[in-house]
Amino acid sequence: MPKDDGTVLTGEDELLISRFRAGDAEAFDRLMALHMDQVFGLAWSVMHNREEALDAAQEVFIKLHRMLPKFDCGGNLSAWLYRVCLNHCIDVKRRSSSSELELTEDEWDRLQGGDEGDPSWNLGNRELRDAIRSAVDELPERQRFAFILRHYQFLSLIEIAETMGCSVGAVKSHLSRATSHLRSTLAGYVELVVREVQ
Amino acid sequence: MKECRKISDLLGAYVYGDLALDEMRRVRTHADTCDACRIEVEALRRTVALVPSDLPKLTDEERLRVTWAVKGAVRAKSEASRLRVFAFAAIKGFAIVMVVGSAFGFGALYGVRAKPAKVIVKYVPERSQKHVAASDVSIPSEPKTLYAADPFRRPYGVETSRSGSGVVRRHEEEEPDANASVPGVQMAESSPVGNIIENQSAPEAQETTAIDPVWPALPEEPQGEGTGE
Repeated sequence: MPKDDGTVLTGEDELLISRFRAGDAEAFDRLMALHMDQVFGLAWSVMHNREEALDAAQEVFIKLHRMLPKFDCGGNLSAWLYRVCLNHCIDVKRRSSSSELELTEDEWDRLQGGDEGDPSWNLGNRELRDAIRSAVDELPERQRFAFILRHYQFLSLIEIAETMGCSVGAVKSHLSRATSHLRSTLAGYVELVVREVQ
Repeated sequence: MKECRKISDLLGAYVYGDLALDEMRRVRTHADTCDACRIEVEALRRTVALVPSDLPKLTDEERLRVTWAVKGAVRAKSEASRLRVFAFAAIKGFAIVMVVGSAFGFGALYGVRAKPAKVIVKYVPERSQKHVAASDVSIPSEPKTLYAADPFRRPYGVETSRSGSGVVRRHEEEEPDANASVPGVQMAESSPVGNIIENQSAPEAQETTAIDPVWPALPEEPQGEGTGE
């Protein structure tokens, strides 16, 4: 399941890293192009702001360029990128928590990328969409990251544990509590389904 | 109920299908017998399905923007580090020059003055080779002492004076006549002027190196050749 969305293989990462260390500057461009969508998607799912997500992706790749000569190829590059991205997003959110802006629905649509390419988000039900976004944002930090990494980034439990720096058992617990919290928050939307099951 | 609490921590991963086979079987078996857990599992599954997993995609323009921003930041950082290295090297070189220059300066100012060098003054005029008549040389009553206690004394024959405007002027004395008497020097009769060697010593030593009075007899000068007229 994880890594079935065309994500870069670790072997390709290793090859590009070794080429970069040998002085091939284009290897880093290729590495950046391969991981940019993942990093941007993760940053967007945490920040819910397109500009901030782009800035976060830029910062992550600058750090990658600085760390690449010392980066251990045996490690998981994706997990490292996710971890750096999450830490950066946490810092940015904490800094801007006092000056957070309320977005209008039109701004929200525009920041999500408009009508193009996001059919799932164009449900025609803005109320449900806002409820989902609020529910995800209200999750405690660790639960939110576990949910985002699993739900949006399709990472395995082991990769999430590596990214978050915790055990697999802790990831299972975070994920269960996150989904349970979402179920409670979105109860009005899933109540009908539950009744049908009963 | 005890099993429900144990299983509740696995339900999140269960709805995503991420559990190991034995854990999946355990949850499924329990949900088959527990209505509450079965309802919970189904509700979680519907909830997860309700949340879209699609994320906005990067446009080509945004992709280029991030790429060039990263490249620009990396280039600026490398240039800054290169400038830092150059500045450090320049400061290091300047410090070395200052230390070496200071060492030489201290040596020149204090090292020589603290320990004056032994100075030997030799004055051998060209015309000293001429024969000097004994009558041209005035013999002082008492031999005077010549010594050079100050190693920084001006060179022989050069005096300086400071005018009112502060300009230092040099006055060079005329070269002493070989036939003239050398004041303070004890001369031997019929001896050539010159070859005065002063052996510097402390003033209290009061030693004078006089010209050896015992001098071999010189041949007499031919008559009529004194003035060359």
